[in-house]
Amino acid sequence: MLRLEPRAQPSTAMLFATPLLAVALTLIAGLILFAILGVDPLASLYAFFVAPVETWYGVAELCVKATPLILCAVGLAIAVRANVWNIGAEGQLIMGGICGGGVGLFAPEGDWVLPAMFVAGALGGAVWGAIPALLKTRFNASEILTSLMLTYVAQYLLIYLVRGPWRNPQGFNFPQTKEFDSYASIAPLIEGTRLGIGFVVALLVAVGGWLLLSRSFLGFQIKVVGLAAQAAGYAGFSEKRAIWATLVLSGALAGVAGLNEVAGPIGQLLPSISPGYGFTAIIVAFLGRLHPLGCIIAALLIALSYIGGEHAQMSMNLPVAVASVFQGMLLFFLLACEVLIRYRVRTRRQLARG
Amino acid sequence: MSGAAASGGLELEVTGASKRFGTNQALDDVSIKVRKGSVHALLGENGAGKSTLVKCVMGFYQADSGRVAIDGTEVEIVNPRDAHALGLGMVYQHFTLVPNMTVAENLVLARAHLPAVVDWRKETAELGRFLETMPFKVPLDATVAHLAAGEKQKCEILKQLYLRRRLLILDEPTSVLTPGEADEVLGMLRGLAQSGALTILMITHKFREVLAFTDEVTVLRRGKLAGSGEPRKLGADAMARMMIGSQTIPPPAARSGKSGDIRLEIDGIEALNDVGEPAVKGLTLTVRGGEIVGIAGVSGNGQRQLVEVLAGQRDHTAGQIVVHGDVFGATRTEMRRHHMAALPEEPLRSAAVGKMSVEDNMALRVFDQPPFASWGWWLHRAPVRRAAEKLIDRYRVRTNGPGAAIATLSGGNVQRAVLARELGSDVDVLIAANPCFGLDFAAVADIRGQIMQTRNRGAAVLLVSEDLDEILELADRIVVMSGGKIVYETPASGADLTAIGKHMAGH
Repeated sequence: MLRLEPRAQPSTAMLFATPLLAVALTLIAGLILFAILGVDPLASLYAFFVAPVETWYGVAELCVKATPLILCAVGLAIAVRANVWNIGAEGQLIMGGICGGGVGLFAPEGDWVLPAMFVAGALGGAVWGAIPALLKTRFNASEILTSLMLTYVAQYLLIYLVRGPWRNPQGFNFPQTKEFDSYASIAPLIEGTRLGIGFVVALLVAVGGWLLLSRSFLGFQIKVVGLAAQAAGYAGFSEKRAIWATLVLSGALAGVAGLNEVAGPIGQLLPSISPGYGFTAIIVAFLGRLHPLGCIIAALLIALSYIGGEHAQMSMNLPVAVASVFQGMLLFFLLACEVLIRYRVRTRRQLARG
Repeated sequence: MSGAAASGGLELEVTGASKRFGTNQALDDVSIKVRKGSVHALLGENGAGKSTLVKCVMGFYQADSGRVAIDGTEVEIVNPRDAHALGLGMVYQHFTLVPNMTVAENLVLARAHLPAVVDWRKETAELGRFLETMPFKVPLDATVAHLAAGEKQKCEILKQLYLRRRLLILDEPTSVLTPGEADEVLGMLRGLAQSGALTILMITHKFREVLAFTDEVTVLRRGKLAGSGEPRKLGADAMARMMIGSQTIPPPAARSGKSGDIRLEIDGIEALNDVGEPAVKGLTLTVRGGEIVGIAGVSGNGQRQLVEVLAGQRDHTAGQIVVHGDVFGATRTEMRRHHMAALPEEPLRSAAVGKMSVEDNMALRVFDQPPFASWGWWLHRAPVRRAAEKLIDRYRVRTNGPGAAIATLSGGNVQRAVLARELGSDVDVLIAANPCFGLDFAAVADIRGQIMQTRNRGAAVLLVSEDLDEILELADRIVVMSGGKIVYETPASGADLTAIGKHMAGH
């Protein structure tokens, strides 16, 4: 019989091993799942995880999908470090798309338009993150609820705009805006792919986030507030300031992600500009151990499950929901494996012997 | 396994217990025998291994080697549930009752097996009958939050008896009680043991309690068995020598220098408690440089809230604090400009970040200052470590190194690490709240000495303490706090103890 014995100190080795273990368990569960679905498990796993990245185009697509995940997840990871649970990155991403996209649609032609779109996108996301911060610091309202509910507000605002005032007059009544002009679009970095400057921005943001947490005074305050609010007050760190800083920062990063989507791969505003990147980024942040650099690896892995799902749907006729199932299983196994950081598994016999 | 129907105290024997945490040998071949129906004291300094030993018995930890026998039969205890099934129970230093529930609810919910629907009428009647067999009473329908500390501690003990535990381990059961309450609770426990209903193993620091209430004592020092015997035959001196070994305890620090100008003025401060009720009600007080003002009072009269306001952990709703003639808002810059230092109670919770390293905790106040940071925000690691190493050395903090998480240190060493941070540089105003709470007497003497030296160097010291002896030893002036206000003031020399006691009790 197996027993859990508390460790005297959390295991550092397990801290790094658990994400790998969770991935391995997800793959095993995937094999079983495919077998139950009645398809060849190994061929399906191949189609899901290897085939999509066999070409350079595939690799570029992987990075395209990872970009919004990295941007959102780095912000979320920093927020969670301050014990701020921003669940509304999806809404902040949409507001970034709306604000940045609005600038792209209506600004006169010029080289300044694209940078202005990035700024507007960041501001839009930041404002959407600032609302839960205001409600939390002023009325002690849970940011989990408020940020989540604001996601739906943003979603319906976007639907209203693309069906109503911003609809393309020459668009045959489709609920979409006109496509962005070339001065308002992100050009691919590599010819023949959709990989734009956004991926580079995401990598820089992750490095910046790492430096912020590890080496900056603000990052130190964020960590102290998150770990021990009492001690933070004692050291003269303001908990409210940490709430504001992390919600506005994570909102702004999600906003940039949204703008990067609409001005990059999508090229216009649609009723749906994200397949749930903002929510998936929560998985990414935890899979990446709330470490900004870990978020890069985790985002690439989750991005692979997105494009793998599409690929497996095309080549193996697997349902597209398999991608979500994989993401769900990954989070499930990750949370289940967390227990190994604080506990070790021993048999009852081992325990008795000591 | 003995059935729950069996009753009477159990005998506990631990033989050759060892436990290692990383490089730290917390227990080294310790044996202890607790006779049936006795009250047995477990004495030792911080980090001596008392808690580790009882946690191994209760199944929270697994000893690396050693045997446990109950009533002469060797047993395997791999988790607390096993210990409970054997009839072992533990009462912790801090309360484990649910504050917003009634006593009856707390007792019933503690049971291992509860029916899906609780028949409260039947349970209450049964509890009533159970209480009649007990030597002391608590009101069953009272909400725990409204009980005094002594009553809560009685509830904890009642809970264990209600669960039919036959050997009780108590971890410093009197640390939250007034001396009167402590005597009452211990006397009653002793009575239960003498009647043969219960065996008691009690961790403590207080010799007075060991001498007055226990039959046997086992002393640990640095994880090893230092001695055992009958306390009244051994006497306090012999037990103290077993505890501290060859280490010498410094005599109380001498008082020197004169009081100077007013440094800290608290003017009509009001503050709310956690549930929004007024806790500090217009408190006014001044402290001069080179003076220790001791605030005496029964816990729960607003002292905690007052200290939190002064330490920047709670907003005040009225009044103002003036330091060096400037209005003080407890911000980081103000604390630094006025050389404010604070030793709040429960340092691990309120003055340190448990999961952060010792070095990071020591730098908590100076992180953004050169040489630890450039331009106020870019941090440098190397100077932080060097500063921490110096403080660890100077204040003799026992740690696995500056990089160890501060939560892994023993209570006394956490307090020393905080003390090192707070008193390691210039101090003009010091706020200390129960600074020696739960510490052994070598650490107590050390910390009181540091506070006195800080006063002698000219700092204004505000000392809030529930330990009247501490206030009498350290303070130059004593005030009594009751109901959120100062109700009595007297110079420490020639203070009238009866008058202080009366005002503490709210008369």
